[in-house]
Amino acid sequence: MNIEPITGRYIHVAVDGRNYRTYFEENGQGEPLVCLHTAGADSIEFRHLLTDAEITERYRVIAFDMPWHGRSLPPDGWWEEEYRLTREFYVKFIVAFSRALGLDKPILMGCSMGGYVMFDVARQHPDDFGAFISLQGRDYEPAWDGLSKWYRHPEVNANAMVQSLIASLIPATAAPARRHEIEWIYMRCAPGVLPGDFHYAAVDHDSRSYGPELSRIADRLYLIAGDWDWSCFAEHTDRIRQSINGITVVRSPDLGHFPMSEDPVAFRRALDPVLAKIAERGKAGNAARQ
Amino acid sequence: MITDQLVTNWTKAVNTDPVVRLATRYATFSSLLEIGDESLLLKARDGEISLVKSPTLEEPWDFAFRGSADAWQKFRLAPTPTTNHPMSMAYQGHMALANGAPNYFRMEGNYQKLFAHMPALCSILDQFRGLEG
Repeated sequence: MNIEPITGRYIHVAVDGRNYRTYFEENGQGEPLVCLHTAGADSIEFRHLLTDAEITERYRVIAFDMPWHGRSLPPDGWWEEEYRLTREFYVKFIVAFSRALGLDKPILMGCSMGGYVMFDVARQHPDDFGAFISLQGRDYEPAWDGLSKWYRHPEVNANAMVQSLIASLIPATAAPARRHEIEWIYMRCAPGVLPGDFHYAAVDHDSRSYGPELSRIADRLYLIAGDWDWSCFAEHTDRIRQSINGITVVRSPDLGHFPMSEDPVAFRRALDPVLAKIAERGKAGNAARQ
Repeated sequence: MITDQLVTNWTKAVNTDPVVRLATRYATFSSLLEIGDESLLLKARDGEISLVKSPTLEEPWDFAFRGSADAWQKFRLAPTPTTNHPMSMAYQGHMALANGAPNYFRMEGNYQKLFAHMPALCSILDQFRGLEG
């Protein structure tokens, strides 16, 4: 038998009086590391990290599917409304999920829109999480919404159309199996979910003015960005670095828009120093308290 | 840049490569590929793909994919972060800040038809890389 050690379960998360039956996977023990998937995808993006023995011997890695994504169904009544992810709901849901699992100041890590929301969560709930790791994070990017119409158009097969966008964001150096794995994850996205997520990423998220507030907790803010992602070039992360005094920015020449999926080894090269820094900070904090 | 040999090799490649065959099997569109001062008409009819050099006004097309000779040459060489894929070369400029990466390609015409056929188009363009001729 060759059974992976990942456990998948459902937890009921309540937000604004609505119940969300939420799928999550986890593996490992130690400090909780909660992972947020990209727009239009789900927690399967973190499968490599969830089975990385070096990581899971030190961290309880947890990845969940946002409602409407993966195995987390939309709530009852979804058929009467257009799906549009808002900043308010996204932040509330992340905090509610963490509390529902009873996690104590977990490390929060998210990619793309999950990396964008890191700045929103850090601003509104700085003390609920031990550290914030934004992968391919941006402060503001309205252009994502430019293609949303065609992902909803009855004469366009959105499942096929998305493949080109996703392929363009992956490094040419990624192994073909990893590249096509990401494309497949996106091609099975439910109708309207990717443009619904773009509503948050392109319209509702704008953290350009958060600099003064986030600078106060910058020792707990980390930004990892791959050079092959045309939505997150150095000019984009430079603006964040200039705005948030003290944020740690790690740029990788080997990564693109989906670091945890496209090249798990290169991702570890970027992530390990960040986790080491967080651990060091935790030790220093414990020593100070004693 | 567009030699007869290149057109022949490109046509053969797109009609035999298994990935392109899968991506284009129901594709039906006509596209103008502008390569600097030259142009090609790319026609797909239920997966059968042809390339017509220097098309005349008698040849209508649904959408155009335009770029300078330099842009196409960049695309033809080994991919870099700014020349990795036709989609990024046509869209990255929309996200650029001051002095950021430019849009090397322009997409114009019937956008519904274009985006419906984007994977087919990209699979065909991908064969342009490494072509002899």
